[in-house]
Amino acid sequence: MTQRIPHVRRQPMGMLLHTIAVFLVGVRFAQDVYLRLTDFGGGKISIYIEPFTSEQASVDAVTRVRNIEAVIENDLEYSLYFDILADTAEFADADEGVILQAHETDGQLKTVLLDYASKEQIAVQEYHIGNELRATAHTISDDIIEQLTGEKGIASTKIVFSYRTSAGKELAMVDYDGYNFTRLTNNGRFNLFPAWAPDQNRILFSAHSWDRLNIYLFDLSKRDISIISSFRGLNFAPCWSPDGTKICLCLTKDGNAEIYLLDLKTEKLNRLTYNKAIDTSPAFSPNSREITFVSDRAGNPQIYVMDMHGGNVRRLTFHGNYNTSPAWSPRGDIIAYVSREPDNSQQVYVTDPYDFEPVRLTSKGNNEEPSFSPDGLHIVFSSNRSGTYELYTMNWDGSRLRKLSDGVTATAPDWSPISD
Amino acid sequence: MNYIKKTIPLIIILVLFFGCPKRQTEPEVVEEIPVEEEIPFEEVQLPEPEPEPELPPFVLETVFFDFDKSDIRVDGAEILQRNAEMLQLYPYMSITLEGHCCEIGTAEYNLALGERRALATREYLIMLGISADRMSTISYGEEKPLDPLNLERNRRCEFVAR
Repeated sequence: MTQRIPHVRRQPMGMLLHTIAVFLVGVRFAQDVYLRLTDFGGGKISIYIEPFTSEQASVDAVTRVRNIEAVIENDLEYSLYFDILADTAEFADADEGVILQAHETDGQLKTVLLDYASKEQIAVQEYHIGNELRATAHTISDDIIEQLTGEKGIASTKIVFSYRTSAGKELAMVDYDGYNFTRLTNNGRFNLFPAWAPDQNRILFSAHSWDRLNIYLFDLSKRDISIISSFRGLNFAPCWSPDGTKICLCLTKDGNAEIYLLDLKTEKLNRLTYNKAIDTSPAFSPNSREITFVSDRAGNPQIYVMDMHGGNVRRLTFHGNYNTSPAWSPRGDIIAYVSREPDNSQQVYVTDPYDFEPVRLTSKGNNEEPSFSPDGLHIVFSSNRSGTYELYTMNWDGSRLRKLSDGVTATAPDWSPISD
Repeated sequence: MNYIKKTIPLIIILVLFFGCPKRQTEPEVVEEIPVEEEIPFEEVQLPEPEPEPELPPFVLETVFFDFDKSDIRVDGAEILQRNAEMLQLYPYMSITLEGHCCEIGTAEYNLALGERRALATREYLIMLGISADRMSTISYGEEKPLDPLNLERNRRCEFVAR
């Protein structure tokens, strides 16, 4: 399991030249750009970031561009596609690599990517430096990643979650690197299960009213909340189909928790599960054809997969007697979930959705609620390893743990899609 | 005015009779206070008002459950028996049954489990003769722990008057 990154095929040579060629003719065939990324530590693109410069000599102007540089460096390192070199002398070992240069003139930052060996320009871009330096830096990072790898970067993505207050739980979001804490709700209720729409502009979530738990839709651009589902009992655990036309949700109106599919255009509601057991936590496969979910139909909670009409149900987990919280990788080839261990701790596992082979990723404290980054290379989850529940990210293989939240008790993270 | 003129001598007499001796006995009164027998604070009893309706205060006990279970335990059955008797004493009282869980497992699964506990409790009370339309259910899953350090205390169904 630790030996492969799915859908990123090994290409023995010429990756960079190939990428450059694709870029120069101005047509990008994402599926034709391959990385030599076989494990972490080898096969990455070597990049040297020259200190960013400014036309103005003032300390402020220089600090500004150097701050942008620092954010970009962190983004590129985080992306797993790059080896950041401290000096051009390190290129001696690498037969290929790129240099990033940037110079600011009148609030415009011009970036240049150079092929180290040929000194040819690979890409030149100009950016307006506004007030939001971090956002500008993330945009530049994503462009660099796409220009050099053909893959969409995740530097501009966000993570939404619930955090505890004295009255209940409110929703907030942060940038993928933990900066820009932004409060979304402030109603003193329990606001739970936030789920990003594929357009990165809307969030589904559940909140209690006095006699039931409803599902609402938060429109971020309109700053508007509308009600989506308010049947008797519980309306919860919403998730979007990857094409954004349907939502999967959990309702208890028929006596116990069942999974339903709601078509947002026709408003037609289809019941998918018929079982006396609890059926909950639905999550779509990236091709929208299948749904993974939790059911205790076998006596205790286990992970199952069904097609989007509720048929062809198969059980996925067979080890442990308490497996919950499935999340399907956007690359399609792994499902992350949480398993209760014999010592009663809860740990994040990943498994192949067709050939069950679980691999444990966490070990310290309780680790719950995994959610994949849109490139499938990272996982955000909640953990109480520090004594209270906080958010962390790690690579898809469990390496490189980073703490995300700062000082708030946070749960239920959901990683946003990539905005277009 | 006549009235005031008549009462002035009376006031003077009263002052002469009671005003002077009182001033003399004042120190004695001050001494007497600590001499009075000390009644422990807990034993001081407030005068009871006439018990008009002979009803016990409306209190319903919380029912507890086993991990990942919603079956009413033997101790839960006894509690629900007492709760049912209480509800019969207050026939116009409606209640909300709140199902709760410990933090193990996902919030989603625990919401469903909490509702299952509330519904199991409701079924049991219906069996004991409590009308279904007096009871509504809600689940808070793992969101409102009673005691964050004691998981067993959080697997419960609470009763809230509405």
